[in-house]
Parts: sequence; structure tokens; C-alpha cells
Amino acid sequence: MPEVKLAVRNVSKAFRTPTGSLPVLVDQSLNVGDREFLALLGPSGCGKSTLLRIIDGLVQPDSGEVIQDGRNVTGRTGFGKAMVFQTFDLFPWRTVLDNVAFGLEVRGVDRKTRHERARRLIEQVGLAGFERSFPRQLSGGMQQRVGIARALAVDPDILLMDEPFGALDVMTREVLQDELLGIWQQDRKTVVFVTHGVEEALYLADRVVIYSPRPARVCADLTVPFPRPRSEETRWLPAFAEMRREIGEILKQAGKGRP
Amino acid sequence: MAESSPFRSAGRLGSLAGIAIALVVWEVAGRAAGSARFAPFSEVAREFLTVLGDGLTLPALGSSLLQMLVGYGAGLAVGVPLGVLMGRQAWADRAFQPWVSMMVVTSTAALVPLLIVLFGTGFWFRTAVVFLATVWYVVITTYQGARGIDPRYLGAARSFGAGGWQTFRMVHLPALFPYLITGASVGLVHAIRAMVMAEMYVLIGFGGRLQQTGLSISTAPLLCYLLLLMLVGVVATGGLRWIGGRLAPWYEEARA
Amino acid sequence: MPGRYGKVRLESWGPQALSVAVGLTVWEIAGRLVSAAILAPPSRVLARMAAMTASGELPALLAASSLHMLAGFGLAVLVAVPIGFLMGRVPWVSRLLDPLVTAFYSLPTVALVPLIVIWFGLFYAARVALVFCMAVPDMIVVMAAGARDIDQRLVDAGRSLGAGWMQQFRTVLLPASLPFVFTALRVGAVRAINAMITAELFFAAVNLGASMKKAASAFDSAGLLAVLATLCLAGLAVQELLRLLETWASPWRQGVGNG
Ligand SMILES: Nc1ncnc2c1ncn2[C@@H]1O[C@H](COP(=O)(O)OP(=O)(O)OP(=O)(O)O)[C@@H](O)[C@H]1O
Ligand SMILES: [Mg+2]
Repeated sequence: MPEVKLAVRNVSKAFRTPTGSLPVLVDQSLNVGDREFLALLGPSGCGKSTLLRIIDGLVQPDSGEVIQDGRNVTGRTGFGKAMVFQTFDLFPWRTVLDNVAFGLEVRGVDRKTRHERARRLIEQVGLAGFERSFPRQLSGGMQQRVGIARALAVDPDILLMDEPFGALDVMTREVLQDELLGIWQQDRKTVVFVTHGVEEALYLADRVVIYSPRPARVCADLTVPFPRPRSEETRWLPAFAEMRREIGEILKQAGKGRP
Repeated sequence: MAESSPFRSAGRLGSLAGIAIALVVWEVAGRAAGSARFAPFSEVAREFLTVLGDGLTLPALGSSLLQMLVGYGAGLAVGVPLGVLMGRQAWADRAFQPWVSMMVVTSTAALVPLLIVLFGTGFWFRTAVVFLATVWYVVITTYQGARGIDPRYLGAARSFGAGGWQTFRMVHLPALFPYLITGASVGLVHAIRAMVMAEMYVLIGFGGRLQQTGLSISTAPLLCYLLLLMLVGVVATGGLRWIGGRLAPWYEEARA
Repeated sequence: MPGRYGKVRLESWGPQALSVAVGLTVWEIAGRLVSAAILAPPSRVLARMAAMTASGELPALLAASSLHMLAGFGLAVLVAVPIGFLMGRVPWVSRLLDPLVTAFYSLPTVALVPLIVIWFGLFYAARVALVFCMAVPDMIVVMAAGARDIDQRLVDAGRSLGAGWMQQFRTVLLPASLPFVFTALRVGAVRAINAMITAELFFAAVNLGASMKKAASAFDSAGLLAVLATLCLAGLAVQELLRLLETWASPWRQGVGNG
């Protein structure tokens, strides 16, 4: 495995609910290599988003730590990480241009520079001409393109993606998967991609970590061998179908083991 | 956009029809009742021109409104920060909530005798009445906006490393904006109400003139004054909404 | 669940009681520093209220004032609730009435006092008329906004399940309207109590209004504040009553009445 970019060490997290404490993560560890495309796969509600939000620093774990480039960054956002959210979470009061420029504005980049950079990224995600639109005037697929551009605008080392295509229809999802791969091919970043789609994980990632239902526990850690650049043909490889079946089996077993 | 315009013009036509029907009813009722009880529209319209030109009414209205702006401005200056604080900080919510609920249900009119004892009947009296009538509505509206800020936006801002002040400026304020506009215009309605009430009570300014006009033989001048007040209210709140839409296009969009 | 609710109530009542206590203390100190004619301290106001209640004076005045308040408020509800609802649901009604409602909402209702004197004189009928005129526009505005914002998806769901006009009204529109009907009632009640005392101060001085005027001319600030506090408590009691009524009328919603 290449040099470790990001390490999650013995992280636990429980949420307080009206009916008591709900353990979501129990003593979880994870290594992500430099420039690796890692997919976290697991059933809905198992705690994937929580783990990703802990990595981003949005959620403070009850115990354990997040190490990035050898530095302890537990509970701290920034540091070259950027997140693409499951529900887009664009600011409704900002235009597309200002949404994309948001992270740069936070860093105090001057208006001209940040708009220039934002324009380039908007073009890259295929939204040229929509700079002045507001999020609600865009379709879901377009909104998530803005979400991706917003994250890429800060030129992050690590891209965190929380089921970014989960809320989109199948066709849009496949188009965006290919666009994401295209962008990643040009400028390889470390990516942690949360999904509950087996096919999506296989198609995009170098490695897939599979989680059990809540509290999430690693059931399998598989390397995805398909050559890059990947395309529609990849999905038709016999090995692809074979791996998909295998992972389906693992998920089913994990589901049975539920208390 | 193209398909919404016919609806818009249909809406305007409907509103014009509403106004026209009201004016016809007014005219007929006025003629039946006689101008001592309810002057018909035609008479009031003629009287309106005289009132506008008499060189007394408009200046009285103007200076009353200017004085009102002091209390109203103070209401905004206190109400907005207090509302935000209560909406975002649990301790402030608990500390101020009982007082706010008490003051909101307390009628401004009932405060007038006490305020006269405290301040006399001059500038401070009017300012205090307007301030007390405005501030609680501004607090409540801002409070609701501040409480309802979607935590997802706060999370997204934090994820991009926004600090406390940046988050306030870039998330809280724009998310609050519609509520600030609503609060400002609801507050303005209450400010105008309070101003007129206070002036009628102590017989000064525009309100005082209005109260005394009630004693004249014809109701036409009185109705002119009422029309004038309506116009002021409609223009002022409409103007605030318009400015709001201008400053915050996403807000108009969201309401459309 | 009930136990937890009780605990939350206790936790949140503590600071509120403290806040009221601190406020009363500040007032007490201020009241003792300045002349009692200007601002009587709360201890004296309370003593006065107790004396006036014991002598039966205060309850009698409040009851007498409530008579025209209830009559005007009742009439206002009968007029404002249906009109506001229709304005929210039927576009042409809204177009027709919107300019009039806006005009009357913007017109300070006290300005109608001279006109009401001409039409209804100075006594009971005039007071009822003022309460009615003051409560109606605000209630219509709340009702219309609420009815307009009824979730169209609920209405459509009802329609697609084959509900007729009457059934739709009973099964969807009515329950969906309860929250804002109660908001309108609460707003209207504040206005009605406001109008109740306004009427007694601006027309012939009677009941609580006469008592206030008498106290004011005698520079008896304890008497003034006693009436004021009574009005305030009456207002809070009515709000609380409506809140209880709402909870009882809509058992499917939790924690209602904060809107
Ligand atoms: N702030 C919170 N408070 C209480 N419980 C929470 C909170 N956040 C998440 N949970 C609970 O933790 C569990 C895991 O949530 P999480 O969002 O991480 O799931 P997920 O794997 O991302 O699911 P999905 O695929 O549906 O997005 C869920 O049962 C959820 O109800
Ligand atoms: Mg999730």
C-alpha cells in the first residue's frame, strides 16, 4: 500500500437519543493511502455518514483520533479536506458562482481571483452559463455538480464524498460517475467515497471497505483490480459481475449476523 | 418566466376590480348615509385635493413620521440582536422569553397613561410608545428566523473552515434576511399604529389633527386622513418588501 | 416519555423563574430609588393588586371589560376565519380582497375611533366595534397566509385517493388548517385585549380604562401598574388557554403552539 495519507484510529461514537444511547461506531480504524480512491460501502443507517463527518471534523468522536499526514486533526475541519454532501447543502442565497467560491472566500482569497477559479471549475463540471443562477433554479444533478465544484475549488488533498449521487436518478448518476472519474484522472486526489451502491463502489474505487449494519464494523476490505481509465466496458467485465455478486453475498451475511 | 406574466396581469386586473367594487359600494353607501355620517367617495376625492394643498396636513404627517422613525429605529437596533441572541443561545432564550411573552401581550394603549406619567407628552413619550410597540415583534420574528437556520448550512460552512464571524456573516445573516425584512415591515405596521394612537391620545401631531377632525360636520376630511394613513402604510411596507427583494433575489424567488 | 417531559419542563423553568426574579428585583430597587408617584416598586403593585382583588373591585372591572372584548372578538372570528381561509385557497377571492385587506391592515385601527363615535356613539356598541375592527385584519392576514401554505402534496394525496370536495375539506384541509387557525386566534386575542383597553381609554372611560385614567390623574403609579399587570396576566392566561385548546384539538402534533 502507498504512503498513508489519512488514518482513523480506534474511533467510537454514540448518539444520545430519547430512548438511551445509540452506539453508531465502536472502535473503528481505517487507513487511506495517498491518492487512493477509497469507497466505504454499507447498508443505510449503519454509520457511514457519521464516520465521514468525523473524518471531516464536523463531528467530534467520543474517543479515538483522526490522523492526517501524521498530524492529529480530530474534530478540526479544513486542512486540505473538502466535503461533498449527500443532500448537496448548497447555500440557497448564493449564486452558483458564489457557492463555488465559498471556500476560497472563507480563506480570504480576493474576489477577482476566487471568481476566476470558480468560473474555471464551473466550466469543468459543465455548468458554464449558469454562474448567476440560484441553486433552486437547477436540477438535482446540476446542484450536485455545483457541490463538487465547490469542494474542488479549494484544491483539497482529500475529497470526502457522502453518497453524492444517492439522491439522483440512475442516468444522471452514471453520467456524474464518469465525470468524477474524468476529473480524478486528471488530478488524482485522495478520495473517500461513501455509498450503499455496490456497483458504484466497484466502478469508482481502488479499494472497497464493507461495513455491517449498525454499529458499523468492517466485514471486508477488498482491492478493486480493474484497470483505469474505466468506462462503460468495465461494467461488462465478467470479473466485475463476479465481484458484485461476492460483495452482495458479504452484505447479506453481515445482515444476517444482526442481533 | 414567460408563462407567469399572464397570471400576473390577471392578478392585477382582479385587484383593480376589487378596488373598483369597493369604491362603488363606498359611493352608494355614502350617498345613502349622507356626508355627516359617511361621506361618499366622490366628495372625499375632491376634499383630498384641498387637504393635500392646505399646507398643514402633509407637514404634520411628515414630522410625525420623522419622529416615529426614532422609536422604530431603536426598536430594530435592539430587537434584531436580541432576537438573534435568543434564537442561537439557549440561556438567552430562557432568560428573555418570559419578558418577551409578557410584553407582546401587553397592549401599547394601556402603557400610554404610565408613559405619560414617566415622560410627559413630548418627544420622549412618543418615541417610547413607538419603541415599545415595535421592538417585541422584531424580536419574535428575528428569533424564529435564527432558530430555524438549517444546521446543514452551518455544517457545510464549518466543513470549509469558516470561523465564527465568517459563519455569522455568510450563513446566519443571509439565512435571516427574509425574517429581517418581515420583522422590519411587521414592526413598521406596529410603529405607525402606535404613533397614531399616542398622538390621538395627547392630541398632538397628525394623530391629534385626525382626532379633532372627527368633530367637524362632514366626515369627508376625516376619511381623507384615513386614506392618507392607508397610503403611508401600504407604501412603507411595500417599499420595504421591494428593497428586500432587490437586496435578496433568492428570497423573492423562494416566495414566487 | 411523560417523566422525561416533566424533567425538561423543570430544567427550562428554573432559568425562566430566575430571570423573572432578577427583573423584579431590578424593578424593586429602581422603584425605591425614584419617587413612588412615577414608578411604584413591584411589592407595592402586588399589594395593591391583592387589595383590589380582595375587595372584588379588580375581578368586577375585568369581567365588565371582558364583555365587549368577547363580543367583538367572537364577531371577528366569525368574519375573519372564513374570509381569510377563502383568500388563501381561492385565487380570485384573494385577488379581489387583497388590496382592501392590505389597506386596512396598514391603517392604524385607532384612527377609526372618530368614525366609530359617529356611527356607534361612545358606549358598549362602539367598544365592540373597535375590538372587531382591530382584530379582523390581523387575523385575516394570518389565516390567508396559512391557508395558502397548506402543503399541496397533502391536498393532491387526498385527491388522488378520490376524496370529493367535502371529504377533502374534512379530511385534509381542516386538520391542515388547525395550526394556523390557532395562530390566528392567538394573534386575534392579543389584538382584542389591546382593543378592549384602547376602547375604554378613547371612548367614554369605563371599567379598567376608567380605573387607569383615575390613577393616572392622581399620579398613583401603583394603581396604574396594578391594572397594567392585570391586563398582562389576562393576556398571558388567554394565550395559555388557547395553547391548551390547540394541544387538545390536535393530538397528532407534539409541542404545538410555539409558532
Ligand atoms: N445527530 C444525531 N443524533 C442522533 N442520532 C444520529 C445523529 N446522526 C446520526 N444518527 C444516527 O446514527 C445512525 C447512523 O447514521 P448515519 O447518518 O451515519 O448513517 P448512514 O450510514 O450514512 O446512512 P444513510 O446511508 O441512510 O445515509 C442512524 O441510526 C442515525 O439515526
Ligand atoms: Mg448517510
